[in-house]
Amino acid sequence: MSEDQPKELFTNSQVDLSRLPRAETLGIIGLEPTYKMVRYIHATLIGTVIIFFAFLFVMFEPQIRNVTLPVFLVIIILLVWNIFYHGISFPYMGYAIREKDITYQSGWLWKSMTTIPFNRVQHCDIKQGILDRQFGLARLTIYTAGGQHTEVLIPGLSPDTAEKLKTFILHGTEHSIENEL
Amino acid sequence: METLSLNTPQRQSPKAILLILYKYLRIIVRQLWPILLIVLINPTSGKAIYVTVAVLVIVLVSLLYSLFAYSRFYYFIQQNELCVRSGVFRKTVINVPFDRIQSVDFKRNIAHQLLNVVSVQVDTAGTKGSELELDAIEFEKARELRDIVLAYKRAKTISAERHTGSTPPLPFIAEKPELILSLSAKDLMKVGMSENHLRTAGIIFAFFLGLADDIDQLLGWDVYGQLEHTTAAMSLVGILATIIAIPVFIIISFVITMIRTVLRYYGLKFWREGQRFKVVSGLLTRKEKTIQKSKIQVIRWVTSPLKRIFGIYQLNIYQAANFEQHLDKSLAIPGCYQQQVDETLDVVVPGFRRAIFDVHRMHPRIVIVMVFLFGFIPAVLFGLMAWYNHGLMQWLLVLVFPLTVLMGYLYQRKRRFKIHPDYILSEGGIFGNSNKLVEIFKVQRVHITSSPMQRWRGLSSLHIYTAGGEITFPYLQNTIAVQARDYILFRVERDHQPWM
Repeated sequence: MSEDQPKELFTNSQVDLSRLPRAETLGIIGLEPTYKMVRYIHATLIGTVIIFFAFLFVMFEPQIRNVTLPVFLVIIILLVWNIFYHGISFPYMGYAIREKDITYQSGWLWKSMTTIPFNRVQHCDIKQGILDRQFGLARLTIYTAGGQHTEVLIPGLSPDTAEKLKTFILHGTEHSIENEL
Repeated sequence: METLSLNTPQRQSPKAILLILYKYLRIIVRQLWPILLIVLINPTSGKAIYVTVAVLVIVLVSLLYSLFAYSRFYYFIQQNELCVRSGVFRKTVINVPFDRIQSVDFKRNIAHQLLNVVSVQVDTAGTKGSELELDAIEFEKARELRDIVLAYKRAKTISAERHTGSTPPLPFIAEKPELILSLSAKDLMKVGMSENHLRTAGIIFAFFLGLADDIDQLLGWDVYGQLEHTTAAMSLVGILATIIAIPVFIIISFVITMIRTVLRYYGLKFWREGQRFKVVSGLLTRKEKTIQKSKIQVIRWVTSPLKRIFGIYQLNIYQAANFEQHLDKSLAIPGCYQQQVDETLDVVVPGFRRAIFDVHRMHPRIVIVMVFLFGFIPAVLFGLMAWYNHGLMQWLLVLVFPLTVLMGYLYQRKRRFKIHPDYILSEGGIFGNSNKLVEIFKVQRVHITSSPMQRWRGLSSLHIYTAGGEITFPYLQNTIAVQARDYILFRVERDHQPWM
């Protein structure tokens, strides 16, 4: 079945697709190395909270105790795996800036890559959580228009970089608006 | 243009008090009716007295509060801004410049109709917390308000066009509404009969489960236990109950869908007024919604096997959604025939019907994944449950597996990613057909994801985000997804048409 699938997006192409700028060939800039630690701490905290609530649940619902051990084992394996995954996937996270858009990628097994053109950015903000502040990091959120899933969050930036990126993105937005008029 | 009457701060119509009362009563009844029912059934129980007192106190307090809120609520127009002053404990002033107003919609429920007032909803583009709702305004004033805003915006557009010199300045002509569709009683019946009865059945089912919970807690009848007992035993009563229950359930679902349809779509009229589309519909609550043509982001038209018998489509027009998700800004026009769908498409996307699309399909592997996730895993879980409970009837749930095989197969066969240099068309459907159309320059963001399984086969999923919703094409050839992304970005970044 896949043999008769077209190999090109357009069979009667007006633009030479092979000459379009490829988002893939970008130099991806990794996140701050200290952010890896934040990820570990974060995953561990979440794991601890889940274990705690599972424990409470067992305390108050004694009738499920006969299945407690295997369930707990599964939960713990998943949580430990989650902590490791947070570390393994760290090198795959990063962003890239082009003249007219910004790309953010993440994920080791489940990869994702998202691109926002500057002329579609509504606004940006920079946030610092408690952990972020301890490690001198910041998160940049980029918003586009619409109802759901309208933001892209880039974590693990140095506050300086975050500020620079924000200025660049918003400047890009203004620039494209100027062009429109 | 501005008239004096709206320039001074003023309260809403005094009828608003009645409306507020009505609104609160409705909320209270809706929230508390199971408890109120218990009180009526069993008025002597100790619980009932507490509940009654509590309800009365809540009613009184909220009534006083709302009266106070009414007296403190002022609205007026000032220097091309709509201003609202309100607040009981803390004063708030909201100014909405006309430039930011996207639409002014009217809504009238039965109380509004009786009192000859309207609720005015002023929507602004994606700015958090700046939507305004004026609960009860005299109809004439509301119309005046809307005319002022629209006249301002029209003048603005014309002067902008003159500035760029693209079009000669148009003399102001009152836009004559052109009726596209008027839903007759017969069409309304067709729509009602072909609505999704399964969804209604699901809602009723969830409702009864919730009710069973309430009864269990308040009266101490173990409804679940009874149910489990009946379904578990291979008794004559159990089988008979099931045989009777299913058709009764279907009939109830059907009747409720019909009622819902009539309430929502009674007397639906779909107009085009120059560059705007307008829909008015509803029996008890009459809603009027308008969408500016340039603000349309996605158009969707769907049909189901039942709808196909009547030859009707449901048409949805989505515009840039708001942060506040509960504000549904889309137009829903059921009961359109092919002709009305085409007519609308020709106005909104003039080149679409002549466009030649390149077609890409989802890889057949998606069937395996869907069947595994939505068929195999649930079937195993249901099977375990039935085995554990010795529930004979519960084994029927395992039929979910063959059902998902069929549905997955149909899904893959119908799903298409169609692309033209200017448009993206998403076709799909399992039993019915659904089409979603986007103009490429209106795309906001492009996203590509892949799982290890997908990468092994050279596949990935393409997600296209617009301000009016998301379109996903799972399991495309990776090369196609990447080319599509690069092409869309290329178009969006070089296109200087305003997307809204």
